[in-house]
Amino acid sequence: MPDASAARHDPHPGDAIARYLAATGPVYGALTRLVSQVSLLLLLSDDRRLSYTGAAAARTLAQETETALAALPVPAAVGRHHWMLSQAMDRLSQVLKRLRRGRMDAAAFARLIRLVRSAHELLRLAALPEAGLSLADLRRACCSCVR
Amino acid sequence: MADYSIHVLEYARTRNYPKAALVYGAFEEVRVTLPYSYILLRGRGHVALVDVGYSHKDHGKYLAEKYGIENWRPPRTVLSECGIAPEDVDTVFITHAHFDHFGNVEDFPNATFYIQREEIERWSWVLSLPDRMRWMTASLDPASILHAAELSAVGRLKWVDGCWEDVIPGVDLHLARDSHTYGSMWVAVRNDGAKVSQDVWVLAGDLVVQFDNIERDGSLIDVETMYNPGAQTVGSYTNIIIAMAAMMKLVGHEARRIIPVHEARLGERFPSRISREDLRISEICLADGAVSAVKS
Ligand SMILES: [Zn+2]
Repeated sequence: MPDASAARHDPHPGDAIARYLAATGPVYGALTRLVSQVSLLLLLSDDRRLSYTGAAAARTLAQETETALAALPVPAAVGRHHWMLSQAMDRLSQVLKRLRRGRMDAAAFARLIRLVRSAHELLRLAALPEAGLSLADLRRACCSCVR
Repeated sequence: MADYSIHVLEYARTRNYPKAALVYGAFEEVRVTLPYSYILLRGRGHVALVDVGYSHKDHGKYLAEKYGIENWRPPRTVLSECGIAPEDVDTVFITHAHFDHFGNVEDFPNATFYIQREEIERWSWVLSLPDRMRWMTASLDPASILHAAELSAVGRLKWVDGCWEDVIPGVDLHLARDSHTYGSMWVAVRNDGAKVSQDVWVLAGDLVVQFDNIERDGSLIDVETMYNPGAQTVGSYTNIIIAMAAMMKLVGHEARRIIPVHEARLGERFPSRISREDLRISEICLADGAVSAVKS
């Protein structure tokens, strides 16, 4: 989401943005996977019959992603983009933290669902499929053979 | 007698699609038109859908620009051709969690969704694997699992464990494990309501994407037709062929009773019309007393 006023301060804004996008790809991918994993943990806490032992894996992925996100080179022009990713990360971390505390009532559960939904919404807004930042990997989807 | 009307409703399409992706081994063959559709099932007091299509909001622009998918229309527009609103739909069967089948969940506020438990569990397992194994997550939208969590929170998600008979009267759900996806489901409609039915329709999800998957020319090996699965699978071709054999047994080996949703030639086999939005509506069968949605 380059914004022109900020880009003026960088003599080579294009390079910096390209570097940012390249480094962001894996982080964005991890965030989309976290959405799935956190959603599944929510499902699990709601439906005891589901078998899933991914809580620890999700927490590890969350920590790694948080670290990687903080380490990204962020030129001013893409500050807003990076902020959206950080906000999504923050929401997912909140959900993971709350899930660790155990059982909750329906209202608390609904709040967590809303947090994941808004994280997903932020990722949707931050998607740049041409740069490889896309919610779903559709490169091998049933339509991707059309060139 | 027939309990249900069944209509295949196209909601988008792409032209120039390589046949080899739809029929494994058809490398020399022409490109074809690939429709995206869901299936409307009405009868016995129910309005049901098999799959809900993808959401333009999430992927539409990218798909349109990158892959030439045209003419996407929302469920409200597509269903209106049959006099139905999304709010009328009470039941949704999700054949599998690919983005083009399990996307438009929010559009159906009054529906209970049925999906195989293994489909969601195994996708989630795949998502926890290292990046170098990510091939297995193709076509999966992370929002699918979020959709499932949202539906579960409001009591509108029903897990299916393998087979489920009479999920609504005369409608059975079947699992094809490790096939097109990890927990692909197909739907059988016993349209005379009989336990051993003489009037079965199979709604095959992506286990059968085109007629050729079950009616491939078999002259090479001296049979009339043979099974030939599509090329896209994370499971096994063997499991797809076994599912096809089970479907064919159920329909008394009458291949036309197996309905593929990515088949552009449904109009050659069933009464159909093109809507104002240039999308095909195919009438697979009509319930007793129902009015045709394709003939005026
Ligand atoms: Zn599929």
